[in-house]
Amino acid sequence: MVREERCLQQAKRGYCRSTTTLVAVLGMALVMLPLQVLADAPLACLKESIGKITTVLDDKAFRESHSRAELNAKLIGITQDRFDWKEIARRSLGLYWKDRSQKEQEEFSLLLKDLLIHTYLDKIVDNYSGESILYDKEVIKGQQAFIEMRIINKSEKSIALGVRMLKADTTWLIYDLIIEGVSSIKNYRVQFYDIMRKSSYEELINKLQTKVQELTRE
Amino acid sequence: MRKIDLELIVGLFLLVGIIALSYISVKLGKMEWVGGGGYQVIAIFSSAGGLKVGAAVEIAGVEVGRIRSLGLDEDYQARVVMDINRTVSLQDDSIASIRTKGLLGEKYVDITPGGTEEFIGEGGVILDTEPPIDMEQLISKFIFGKV
Repeated sequence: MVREERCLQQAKRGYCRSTTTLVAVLGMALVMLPLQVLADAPLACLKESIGKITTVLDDKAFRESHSRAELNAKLIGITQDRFDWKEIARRSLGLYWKDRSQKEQEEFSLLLKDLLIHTYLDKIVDNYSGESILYDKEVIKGQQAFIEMRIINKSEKSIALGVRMLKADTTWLIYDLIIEGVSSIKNYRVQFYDIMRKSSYEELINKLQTKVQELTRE
Repeated sequence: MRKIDLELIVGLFLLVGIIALSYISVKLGKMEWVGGGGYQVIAIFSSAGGLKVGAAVEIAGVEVGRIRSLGLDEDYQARVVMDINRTVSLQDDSIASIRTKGLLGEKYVDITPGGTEEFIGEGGVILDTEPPIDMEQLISKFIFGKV
């Protein structure tokens, strides 16, 4: 009986020791894991967002039972968290960003976000017809990532699309889209520099506000 | 003695001629003397089709450097090494684009300055780039796109 108890205690001690070892090994492994593994991969983040968008666009029942405004609101809800709006605004305004106050920077970011969403949203909703997407390449360099992909329509014609992303904690956020080799940030930066040199920041804000109003009225 | 003087003068004349010729060939060939006087910046492009070593690097149409070498990086992207004049500072969010002079002219790199207060140093990298635009492909898409 006594021997049985002793055996049980020894077995328990052995179990405890092996559990402690296992926890220690797991802990070590977690510490030694590179941070990049803990964060989602940029391609996985992008695929997740695109998957959610196409699911909504493919859902005919949802599209028929809801108004256009509701559909737009749902799509905006999915996409807006995948973009780094402040980074987009900072890079687009470029040289003139640091001269603006914090309040002006926030105002500009919100305005540019509205402009970009309303420029592309209707185009996507109106022209989507079950296009397939081929992901060609994912290149990660430090805190930046570049993904090359092609959008292929039903008549097998393709559009080259590049997506630039920045690492943000455990996820990756989009800051530039390169459509057929043309960067959207570069396109806006060149236009904003031109307006800033010829007129003023107030004029730029007026132009952006007018454009957003035109797009939301349509 | 007089013969030595003559040979010396001819020799010196030849030496000056050779130096002048090499100076002219370096200047006309738009090559740089060893070191070049610039700093190297690397730009990574998804494609560098048509760009050649020695092509210009411009900001707002003003030449600020030249292409030193072209190669591939470990991800099979084009790695373009540029010599940039020391008088020009490039912000680290600058965008480098490969453009064509005219419709059929030579390719060059156009840099659009960014807005950060951090500047690219010797051996720094520009990741925000635009590859050359394939005009033929774009025109064909424009013409045949809506089939």
